[in-house]
Amino acid sequence: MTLLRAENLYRTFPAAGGFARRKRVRAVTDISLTMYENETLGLVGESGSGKSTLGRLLIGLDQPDSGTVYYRGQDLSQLKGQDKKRVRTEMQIVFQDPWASLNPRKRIYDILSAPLLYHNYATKADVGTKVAALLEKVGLSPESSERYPHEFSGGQRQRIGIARALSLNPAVIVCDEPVSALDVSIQAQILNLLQELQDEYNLTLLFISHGLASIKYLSDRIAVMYLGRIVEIAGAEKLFSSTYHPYTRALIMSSPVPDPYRRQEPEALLSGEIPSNIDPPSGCHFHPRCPLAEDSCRREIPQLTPVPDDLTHLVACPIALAGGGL
Amino acid sequence: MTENSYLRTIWKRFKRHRLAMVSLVFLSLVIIIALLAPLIAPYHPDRISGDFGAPPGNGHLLGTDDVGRDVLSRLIYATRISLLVGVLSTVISTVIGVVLGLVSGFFGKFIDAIIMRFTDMVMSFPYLLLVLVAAAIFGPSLLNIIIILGFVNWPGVARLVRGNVLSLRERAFVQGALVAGMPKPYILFSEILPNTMAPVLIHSSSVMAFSILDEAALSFLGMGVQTPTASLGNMLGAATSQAVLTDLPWLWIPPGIVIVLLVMSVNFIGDAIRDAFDPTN
Repeated sequence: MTLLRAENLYRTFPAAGGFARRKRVRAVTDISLTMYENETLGLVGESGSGKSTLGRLLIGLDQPDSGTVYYRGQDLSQLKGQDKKRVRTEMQIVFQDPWASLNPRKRIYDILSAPLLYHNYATKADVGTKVAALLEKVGLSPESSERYPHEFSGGQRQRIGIARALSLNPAVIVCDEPVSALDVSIQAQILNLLQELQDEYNLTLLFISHGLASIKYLSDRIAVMYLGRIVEIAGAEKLFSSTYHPYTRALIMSSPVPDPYRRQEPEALLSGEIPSNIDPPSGCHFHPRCPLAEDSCRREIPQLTPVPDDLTHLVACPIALAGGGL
Repeated sequence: MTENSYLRTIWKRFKRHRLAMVSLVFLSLVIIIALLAPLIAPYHPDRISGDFGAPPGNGHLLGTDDVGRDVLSRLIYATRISLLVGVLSTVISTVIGVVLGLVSGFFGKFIDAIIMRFTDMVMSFPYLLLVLVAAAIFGPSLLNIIIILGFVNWPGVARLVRGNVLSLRERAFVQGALVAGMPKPYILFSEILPNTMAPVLIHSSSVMAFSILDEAALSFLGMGVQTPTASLGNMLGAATSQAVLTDLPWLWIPPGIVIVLLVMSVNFIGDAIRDAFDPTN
């Protein structure tokens, strides 16, 4: 069942500086994407590839310049009144920075109880037990509701952030790099927690990450973004077993492998920096760094095309498609 | 409970400032004296109670002025007026600044442009001239001075609050409240406002110091509090006459010292509050 569907999303931001003819950063360019109920979609890309912006667009926290997001078949931008309020609470987000995601002046109790009370998910009488239950659900003691955010560690704060996202019975949670600010030892705990909660509540997760390592085991499907476009999307296993796009290939090769005897193939590593998304390269944005680049890549913008044997595996690289997957 | 512990930490950090603690004691003392002025002042401040221009001593601790009023009594009442002007006009300008800054920063776009251009306009006006002209138009009286000073000192606060709101609006916890579908007034007053109060408080302390100085300047120029009501400014104004300046120094030295000490202690306290609120300290 399709839960969320994005069609031809574009989002640009004014670039810093400049006055008369201000240039614009192209964060998200022509992205169409479908999220199915109860799946975990991984979204990978370098910083500046537009993955956070896409996540914010999908849950209506930001509006696209053009394009449409459909939630259960309804255009998000057309929702009004009660419908809007209801849909708003069904889509939640867990932020990257646990230090900025909780109001420093409020007790955990106040942070968690305000939305519950406002949306009538709890009454004044039972809000205390509901908050306690939420905290227990994410592995914190109910007594912590009396404390302030600065009294918690990063991992604990992230748990509180998850509790807040969970409090309004959401259908979708965007996890915007929820573990990248945490110690490695804590990361696995938070990932496990998210997975448990997904199973328990039938959540649909959009899991944003800048590396493949953490989302490989969590995701059902993975979409790879480069400079505001999706370049490859496939089932998590498929993406690793039969990689098509040269960028995806480079990403996989660059993730560290805990095996001292395996050396990385130097030609697979990318040279250069990610180009600016104010003036992205013509044609395929990846061509300046691409080992397969041909003349046509400079002119034509490649479209996502299914690979021969799998209609759910889409690749935006005609050359890799013609050459077959890895 | 824990909010108390937060305040206690602030207080602990505040206490580390020796000068601020001294200032706090001084200011508290001045406030108590000002509040209890009718009980403490030895004479009526506006009535003649002794010889003309008598030097300190002989029942008049700080002497009498050129028409025979007790200088100490006038000084006590003048401090009362100065504090009143300082506190009330600061409250007015802080309220105006906070409201305009919040609205400007939160709603942005057109509203923001209008409010901020108006703020720039008020800021770019020659300040003292504006106050003098306003005092001339509306007439120099205590109430008018308070209102006029209140209405010219808000742009700094407005800008400060707007800047804070702009950065807080993008912070994850505000975004989280948006995602949770909380209404705008809740986000504005419950999420954003409390997080911008500390810098506003600090800024207000310097606004208060300026207000006290401005009242003194206005009264000195004769556009402020009018005689016979005593204010620190119009007591100093006596020193415009050469004779008073050289022959009756007890008329202008005490109010001068009080102004300096008042303004300095307010500033020291403001500094200490800033440091106490700074978590990196």
